[in-house]
Amino acid sequence: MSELAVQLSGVTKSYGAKRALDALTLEIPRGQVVGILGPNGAGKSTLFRILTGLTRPDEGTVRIFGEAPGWRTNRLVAYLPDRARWYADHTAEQALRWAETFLPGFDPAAARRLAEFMKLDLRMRAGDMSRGQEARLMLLLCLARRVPLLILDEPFTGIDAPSRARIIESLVTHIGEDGPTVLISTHELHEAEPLFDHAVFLVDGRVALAGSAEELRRKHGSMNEIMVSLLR
Amino acid sequence: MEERRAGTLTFRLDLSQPLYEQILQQMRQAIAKGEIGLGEKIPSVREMAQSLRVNPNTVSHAYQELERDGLTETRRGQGTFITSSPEKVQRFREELARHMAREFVAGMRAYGFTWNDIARFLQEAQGRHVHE
Amino acid sequence: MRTVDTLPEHRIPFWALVRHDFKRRRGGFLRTYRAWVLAYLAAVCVIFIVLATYVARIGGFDPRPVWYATFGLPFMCFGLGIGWTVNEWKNGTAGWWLTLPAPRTLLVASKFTAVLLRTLFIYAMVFLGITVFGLYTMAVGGHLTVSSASDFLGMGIQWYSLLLAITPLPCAFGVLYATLAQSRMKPVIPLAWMAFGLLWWLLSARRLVHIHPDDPAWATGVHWTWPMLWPLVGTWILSYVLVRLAAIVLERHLAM
Repeated sequence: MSELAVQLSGVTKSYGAKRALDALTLEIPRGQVVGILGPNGAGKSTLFRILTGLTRPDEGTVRIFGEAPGWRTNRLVAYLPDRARWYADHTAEQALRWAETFLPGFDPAAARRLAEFMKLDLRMRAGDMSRGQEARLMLLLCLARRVPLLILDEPFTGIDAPSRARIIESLVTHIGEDGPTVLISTHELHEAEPLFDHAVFLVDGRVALAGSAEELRRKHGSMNEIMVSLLR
Repeated sequence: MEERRAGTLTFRLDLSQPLYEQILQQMRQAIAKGEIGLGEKIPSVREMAQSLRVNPNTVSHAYQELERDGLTETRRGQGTFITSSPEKVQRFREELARHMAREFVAGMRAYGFTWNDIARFLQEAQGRHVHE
Repeated sequence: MRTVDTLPEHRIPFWALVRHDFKRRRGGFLRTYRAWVLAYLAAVCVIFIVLATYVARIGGFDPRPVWYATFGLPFMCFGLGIGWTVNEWKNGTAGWWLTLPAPRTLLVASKFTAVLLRTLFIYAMVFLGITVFGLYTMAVGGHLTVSSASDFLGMGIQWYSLLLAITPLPCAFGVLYATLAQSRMKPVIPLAWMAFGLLWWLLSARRLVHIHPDDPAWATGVHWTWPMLWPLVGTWILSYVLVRLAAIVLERHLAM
């Protein structure tokens, strides 16, 4: 049994002439909350799509708990896709039933608690929701799953500050000792960074800087400051 | 700098410094100043992490350190409590004071100040402190 | 903690997925403008009745060739196959759909089945409409008898069974076409059209699909013949191959 949740070595992925990932090598131990950070186009979403089998790398090897990513490993992964929407005709209630039918490890009781906590009306249709409400719905579908790996691609986009704080609080209840491995990419660093055990900064498809969040703070300051200095 | 409340305590977290140290230090101060009473229950790691919106591992790290200081004790199945022994807190305060005093004196000496200088500056500082 | 070892194997229930895929995804419009939709439906019904009455009154109207108006239905289900698959991308739900822990063949098979079921539903509606139209014109024209009615319906059933038999192919082709359009294999699409054209040409050259309004055979109906069986079985095998190809495209060649 692999002690690593995620392992990539020499992973390269190009879209036409653009290299999204450039010989990326990365190891993420189990149970860690890892911020995958970097500017737009640094390869964060591509990395997540490779981990969920949506796309295949041109070169290199990828392992999720020791297995090659694909539909079989996806039962272990709760994935919030980037710029995702929900089925417009579904009410939140129907979305929960959908998740219960199709997503392994989905805990309906936890989902209901989360919906209440996030102040989401279950009778509302996704098509009638604001972006923030829809984002909360999709995030709770991921958070209500008892699986060993959560991959959240920009979970706070379009969510207002008070809801962000609540979402972060509910994230805190999931992580920590014996919790799942969590990969989060976000631009809302100020709120999200206290959650990280580790941070990985990607620039141009490569790891520009990585380490324990506390160590990085001691050496370089906040994640936000690191981002700014990396982009200079 | 960001203020976050956890129960009766207020924490000021600076994201450009290690969070564990800040939580530890501010808990120590709260205990030393008596902001949390002896024998009082403190929030669980998870509750504290939720209120501060930080990683529970960070809080747990700080709590372990507090226990090593002798300032808290974990009772099986009941949670974490501030020590009920005033001697332990007193010992910690004195230890802390001694440590800070030594640091201060060593710092002054490094700049070539004599003991008389140091005493004079301390008196001056105290005067200013009183006026404030 | 739940680990890889303790998390049970999970099977996606196929028919639940089909039911999900089968649901009309764009119900919002119809619901918002319900009154308008009903008004248009009523208007269509009125025009339908007036037209039927008119052609029946002129006399000598034979409703049997009306069945051939359904010639376009297989083309419609090609469009449905494309639309329902592409919608996952258009509606931003492709990420959810494609990360379901199910083999891609199952995902594609479910889409295919849903499209096929929807097509059957539409076929049935059209069948009903034409039946009512035919019987009504016969009744108004004064030549509705048991034998003329059964002749009319018999021809419809013959023609319909032929249509139904070839329907899986355009459904499967539609689904494959949509997945190709979302993949790095997009340049293959013109090739797919050429293959389709070639197939069509083969079928018509062998007079298996033969439409000629002047042909006296068409007035009296299309008949099943034994030589038709093999090309039909061929279209079913081809449909299966296309569904598998779509799964392979989703598995390996997505442009995501």
